[in-house]
Amino acid sequence: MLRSLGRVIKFGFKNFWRNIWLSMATTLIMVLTLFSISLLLVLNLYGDLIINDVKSKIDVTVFFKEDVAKVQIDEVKLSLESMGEVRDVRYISKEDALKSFQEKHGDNPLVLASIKELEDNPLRETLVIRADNPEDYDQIASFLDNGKYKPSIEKFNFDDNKEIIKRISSTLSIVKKIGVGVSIIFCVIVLVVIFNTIRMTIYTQKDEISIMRLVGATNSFIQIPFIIEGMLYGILASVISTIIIYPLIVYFTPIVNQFFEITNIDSATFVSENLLFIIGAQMVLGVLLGVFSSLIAIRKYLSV
Amino acid sequence: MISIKNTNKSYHEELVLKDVNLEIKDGEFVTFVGRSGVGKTTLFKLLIGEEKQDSGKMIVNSWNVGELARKQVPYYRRRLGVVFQDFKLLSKKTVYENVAFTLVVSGASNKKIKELVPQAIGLVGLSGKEERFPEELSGGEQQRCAIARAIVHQPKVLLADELTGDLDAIYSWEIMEILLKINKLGNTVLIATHDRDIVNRLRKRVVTIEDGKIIRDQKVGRYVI
Ligand SMILES: Nc1ncnc2c1ncn2[C@@H]1O[C@H](COP(=O)(O)OP(=O)(O)OP(=O)(O)O)[C@@H](O)[C@H]1O
Ligand SMILES: [Mg+2]
Repeated sequence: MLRSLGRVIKFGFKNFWRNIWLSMATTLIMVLTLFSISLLLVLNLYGDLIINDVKSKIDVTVFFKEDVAKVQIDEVKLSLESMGEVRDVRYISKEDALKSFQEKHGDNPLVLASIKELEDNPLRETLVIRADNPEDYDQIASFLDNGKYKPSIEKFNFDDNKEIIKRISSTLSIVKKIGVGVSIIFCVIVLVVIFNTIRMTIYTQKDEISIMRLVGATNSFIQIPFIIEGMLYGILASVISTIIIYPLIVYFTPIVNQFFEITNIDSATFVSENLLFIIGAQMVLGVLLGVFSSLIAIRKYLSV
Repeated sequence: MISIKNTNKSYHEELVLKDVNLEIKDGEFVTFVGRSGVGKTTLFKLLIGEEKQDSGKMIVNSWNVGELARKQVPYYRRRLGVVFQDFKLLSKKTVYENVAFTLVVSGASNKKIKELVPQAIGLVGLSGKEERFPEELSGGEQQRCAIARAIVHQPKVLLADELTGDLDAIYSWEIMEILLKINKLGNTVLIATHDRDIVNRLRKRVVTIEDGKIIRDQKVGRYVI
């Protein structure tokens, strides 16, 4: 049994070699298919990361009037924290705000000088509120705008990334739709191409197959090499596709990060966390496609 | 032991074999003769399980050939040696590989292959030509190679259809001598042939078929049509 398995695998490799140009062309189509699918996969994974990152950066800053007491601010903070939508509320005192402002502009003497001119701290006490979902900010805003704390609030502003998120999501969803379409087309093409290649192999092998039958080879012994051949296209193509996509990820993710001003996603970590999954998904899909179409070809041209 | 009883076979409603009855003992050498199209090849195809009879019963060494399940056919075939004219040698394989092919595809061990292939090649007189490709062999040598492939797994029954079709008289007889040698080793040999000289020279059992029927069955026969 094991011996026959070894031979059958060897026969499968032989099938692959026998029409090497046809096999290469078939593998190329499979590479294109898997490449487009894995691109889609990466886009999905990375798109989610970007959106989450941008989302996590949304916050509302509440500036209190100058004379509002700390107790009052604490009260506002507490009641905000009791809202289900609010993830966290951070208090920043005037002094802290000034300090971080100075740090931020420490290399700009003009700004520093103009601050020194002022006797009073020009900044306000603030609360920075982050919500669980970007959709919840409307509710938080109306709470601040209509509630009893309104008099103590000078203003509040959104660090408004909502528009950006909307734009990213809609771009992503268009790209994804195109990607799904292209991938499906490629899948159909690859099924047809492999079917045809296996049909050719069966055809060029028909003398061998008839002798095999005559001398008592079992059906599975005759058929499995063609399934192996189909699997080979999938495995080889998934490896090649990964080799192509890997440098692309490494090259493009920093550019994308820079574009969206993303700091907390590291492309190296992304690659190391997802590469295995990307290879695995391609391999599984490639093998499934290869085996499926060789099975159809076998059914059609090798049935007894 | 081969036993054929009341066997009928038709193609497209046309009866090709009509009520064939035949008993062949182990170790016999039987020659089937008859004009072209009388049904010799058809009978052989029934015997190897490639075609199924319409009615009747065919037993070959306790295998109920006509009733074999698809899955059993390969295992049955491994007990037979078959040389059909239209089953050619594989042109991309050497003599050795062609002969070994039978064993490779039926799951024999490499050790067994190394042991049996040279034996078979020796038996048909092709020793020293193991590494040649079929196109580097004469017609007669190709036939020998086909015989070696058919007997390498040491089957008890050998069927050879039109083996000497396009060989000249001397070559044909050499091939027959190989079959006689195989027969002497205790194997049953069935051949179908048009070759009058060979049949007369063999002096073996001759079964004459005409129009799908066995019309003559002689212990030591002559070619009479
Ligand atoms: N697959 C088939 N389909 C239809 N008819 C067939 C088939 N095979 C054989 N026949 C017919 O069956 C009859 C017997 O054919 P068969 O090949 O058995 O003859 P034969 O005795 O071997 O002839 P030859 O000496 O020329 O080889 C012929 O009339 C042939 O046309
Ligand atoms: Mg014939």
